[in-house]
Amino acid sequence: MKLIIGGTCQGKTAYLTEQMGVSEFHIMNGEDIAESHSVLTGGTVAVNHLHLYIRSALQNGRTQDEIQTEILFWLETNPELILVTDEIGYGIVPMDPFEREYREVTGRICCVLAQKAETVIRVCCGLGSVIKG
Amino acid sequence: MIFLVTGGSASGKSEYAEKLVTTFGGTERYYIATMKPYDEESYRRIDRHRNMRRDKGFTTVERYVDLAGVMLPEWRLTADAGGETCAGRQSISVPAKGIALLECMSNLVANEMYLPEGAGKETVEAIGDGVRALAEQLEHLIIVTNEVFSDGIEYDEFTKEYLAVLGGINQKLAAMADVVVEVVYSIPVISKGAEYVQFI
Repeated sequence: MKLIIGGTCQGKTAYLTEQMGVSEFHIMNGEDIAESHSVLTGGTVAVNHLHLYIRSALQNGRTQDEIQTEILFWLETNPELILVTDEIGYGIVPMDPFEREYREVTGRICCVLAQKAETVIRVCCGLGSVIKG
Repeated sequence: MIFLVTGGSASGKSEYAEKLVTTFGGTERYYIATMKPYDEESYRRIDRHRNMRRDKGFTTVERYVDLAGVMLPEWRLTADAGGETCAGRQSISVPAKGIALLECMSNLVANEMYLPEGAGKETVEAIGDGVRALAEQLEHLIIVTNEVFSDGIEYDEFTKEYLAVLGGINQKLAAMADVVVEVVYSIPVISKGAEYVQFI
């Protein structure tokens, strides 16, 4: 599994399609997976906007453990999956409790995924730095 | 040595900082806790950190302001090393300089700026002096701070002032530190002093 992280609008999707050669037909967006009961379509090579999947799952009342189990299940069936997520949590502690929970859960899950990933790439200004692997 | 560990929220920076302690630390381990609990969520946060530290042999020092006033038990006689000298066997006292983990700078800065007993306008100086005073009592000081500068929100003047002070302090600490590490979702990205921590 490969994990691609970076701030919003930093060219992560372009990095995925252009640098890693993933066809857009093989990319699923996190917000769509949430609507399809967390099931990946066959042939999915990469999941984009993983943070939006986590956000939406939390809004639907699922816990950190449940969400993490779902993501790890995708990896069991598809060990070569590429996960792409916004790097969040670089701000003042939000006033809204849900926003606090969202960034906490996203951070903890991404730590687990980064540990499992063979490669972690951080994209900034369209350029990828390999920080692991 | 001074180690500065930074990272976003829930990035695994505390876990990494504790790993530094267990890798470098001798037997004298201090945890300088700067967060003043105020609600249930903060108590939960403290519990999570306490559980992580359990069995790692830390003495917890709660310190919300005035780092310069922290006196750690130093120059304690720990060894009775026998050395052959001209006068025969002689016992030598060895200073027991320990290792401390200070967590978190973002709380300490807010406390100094806004608590009635804090340093207020003198926050930058108070923290600089405090870190120096503390580092002198220790073999290693590990400081955890926080990246809170990139959410693109245009804050009110009050928050902007806090960001400016914390950002300035982070820069000052990074200049003083031997090692600076940003922890990114549990992966250490080393900005300074890689030779000391490469193997971790």
